[in-house]
Amino acid sequence: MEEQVNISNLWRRFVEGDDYAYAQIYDLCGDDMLVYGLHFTSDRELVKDCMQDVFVDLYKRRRKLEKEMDNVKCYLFIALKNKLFDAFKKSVEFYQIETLEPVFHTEYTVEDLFIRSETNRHQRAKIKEILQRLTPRQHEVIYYRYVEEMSYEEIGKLMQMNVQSVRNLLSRSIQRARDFVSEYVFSLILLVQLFWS
Amino acid sequence: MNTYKKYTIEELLLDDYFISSTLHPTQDSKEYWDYLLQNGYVQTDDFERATLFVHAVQSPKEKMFRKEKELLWERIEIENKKILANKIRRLHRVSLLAAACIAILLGVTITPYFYREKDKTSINPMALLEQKTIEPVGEDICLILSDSEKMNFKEKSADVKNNKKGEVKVNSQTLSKEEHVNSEEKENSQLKEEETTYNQLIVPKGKHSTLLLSDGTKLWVNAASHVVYPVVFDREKREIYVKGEVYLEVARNESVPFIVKTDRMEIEVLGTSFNVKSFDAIEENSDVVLVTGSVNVRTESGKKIELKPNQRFSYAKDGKSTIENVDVYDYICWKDGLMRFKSENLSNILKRLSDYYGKDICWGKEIEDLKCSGKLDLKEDMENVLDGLTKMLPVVYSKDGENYHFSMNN
Repeated sequence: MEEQVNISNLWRRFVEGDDYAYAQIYDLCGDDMLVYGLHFTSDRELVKDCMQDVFVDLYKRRRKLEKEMDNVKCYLFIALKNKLFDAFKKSVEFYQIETLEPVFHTEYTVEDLFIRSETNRHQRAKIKEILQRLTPRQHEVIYYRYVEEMSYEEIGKLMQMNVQSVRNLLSRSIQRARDFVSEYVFSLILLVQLFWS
Repeated sequence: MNTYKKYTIEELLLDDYFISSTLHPTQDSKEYWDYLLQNGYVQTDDFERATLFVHAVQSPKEKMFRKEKELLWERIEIENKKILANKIRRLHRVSLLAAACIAILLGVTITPYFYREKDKTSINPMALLEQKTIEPVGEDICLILSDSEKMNFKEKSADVKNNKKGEVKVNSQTLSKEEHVNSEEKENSQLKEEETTYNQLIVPKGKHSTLLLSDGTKLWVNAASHVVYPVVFDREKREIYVKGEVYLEVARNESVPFIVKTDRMEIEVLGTSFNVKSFDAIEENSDVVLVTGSVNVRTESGKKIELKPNQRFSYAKDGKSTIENVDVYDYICWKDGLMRFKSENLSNILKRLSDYYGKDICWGKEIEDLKCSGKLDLKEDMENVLDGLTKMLPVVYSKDGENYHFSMNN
């Protein structure tokens, strides 16, 4: 929360003409943007090209930008997503393929979670498998909610859905959680707690 | 018959507070959830499963490699500069680069002058400037922390960042000082507010550096310069002490004025960018150049001047002062690795080049007053730049070891 306020302040200073604030926004959000972009493609250079476009656009349009921006990161994510999708569209034309819908992909590192425990391989693989069985949009909404901790409004903007649909999508996604947790991993919870505490 | 609400896994996972307390637990959040658990509002099983879920869906939050991040930033900046350059062309060379910049030039005389105002602080930062002379050519950039710890950096330039907590980062590496400075500073600023402690950055000839202060103000520190600044600014004013040349972008904060003190004047701004310059050895006037905004300059004689954009205030050794309109970019372009001048004495130019590159240059008296106008790209090799000068003026130079000697081309 504090970080958000801080970035919003930087944003206002940037719109008012402070180049240093602009550099700081890059410094603070750059890493997350790259990580976010890599969920849509494994092409790291493409993500960086798009990030460059996002920041250059900001600089160009500085005078036209809203001064008050509650969630700068969400704004940057939307901009990056649009740039990435534009790039995909271009490559679709280039390869003359019908569709090449960019999908949100996540590699869960459940292994790390249990790295210190004696969990057998089979169980680990099972958890991972269940998570991987989620649809791309479910992955995406889970990412926004539990990794980036965004609000429903922000997620709605990013996924072009209304708030209620976001809630529904998220509920459906986490209903699976109940199943998978109860069936396979509850026995491990104590170990996990040891790990996280 | 339960009258109270029981949270299910789903409800927990939809709850903002649950998510934030799982990912960033605090004492408060722990107590809050313990209370709910102990009183049966939440079942332990459900709570633990929901917690596990949140942890399980975390994907690795890798960072960009430092170099990678810097390179991408460079690409962005180059692109922006290109766009800016086009704009400038369109706007009839209205210098946007210099927009929101104030340049202050202070060619300072060597007469030692101590501030009349008795400092409340136990350490007099002005005295720090007096006692310490700029290190000779070839020395390292030097950072002296409040506890007198001295650190040297061999690089040609250093990037020093200070944050609100009093931590210091150099070239993106956090110095191990943080805890130490941090806790000490907290006490100092809270309990004994008048006891401000200072860091110092000393940049020798031939080097340069950037410096980010704890309030977000950024300084470009030119060769042969010395800056003294408080580890943490006090609440009423932000004061730093400068000898040499710095260009500042002051973080705007109307309620806490920013003051730059030199031995002959002080400059007060509310939040903007400006350049301060004061080389001992040159017997130049003191100058203040303002690009946009407004600054107040107070000289040692108590004279107070308010400057308008594009004005240059110059303050001679004998106390005479004049104000004229100038192209301010001439005075601040050094930070972009350029040097521009209009009918400047060759001796002044050579002096600055000598400081910038950290090499000795001497010259015969006959060429001292040659006037020169033009632009030099300081990112080039020194000898290329000197060759450029010989094309602009009827001069030649010879090289003797590391020393250069200029004379009239007869």
